Amino acid sequence: MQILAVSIDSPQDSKRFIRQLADNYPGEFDFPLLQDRQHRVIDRYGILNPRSPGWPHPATYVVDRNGRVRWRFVETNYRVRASNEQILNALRQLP
Amino acid sequence: MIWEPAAVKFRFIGMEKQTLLITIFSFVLLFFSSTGQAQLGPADGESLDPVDLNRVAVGSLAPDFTLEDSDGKRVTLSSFRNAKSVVLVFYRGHW
Repeated sequence: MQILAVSIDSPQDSKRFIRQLADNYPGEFDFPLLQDRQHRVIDRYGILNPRSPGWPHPATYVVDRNGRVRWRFVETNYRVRASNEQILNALRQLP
Repeated sequence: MIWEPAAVKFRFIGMEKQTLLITIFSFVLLFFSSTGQAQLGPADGESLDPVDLNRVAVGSLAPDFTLEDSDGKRVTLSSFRNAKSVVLVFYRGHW
């Protein structure tokens, strides 16, 4: 299983975020923070928050080995997030 | 002798041959540079509406893309096909 995280953050902001996460959650931090600076991938997924400088609505997609979306969580209220339990449950369903 | 006219002919196309070789080399270079690496951003669908929350629904293919991580390394979503399932997380980022 591979985690990919996408935001419009600059490499500098992403590196700072990685350091904060590493400080707060010690252990191996092994997934990439991908730079979607002009939110073109965010737009492609249709999840642009139009009332923002290019942020996505928080969204999580579980994609199987054939490239198909098997589970997703998209929420326009940024305070509501998918829990790790929900994501893990979705992953367990995959062959 | 039979080969004499050929020798004369080659002496006269010296400059043209050089130009031709440079032209062919440039096209070859252009061809390989354009097919060598995936372009950054989504693989398709650039003209789609950026706000369409149900576009990437369960059962559909997750739109392919290539983005750089915070170290500048390129990551392509479809590279995980037949290898790993992916948890794709879009987050708001630094604020």
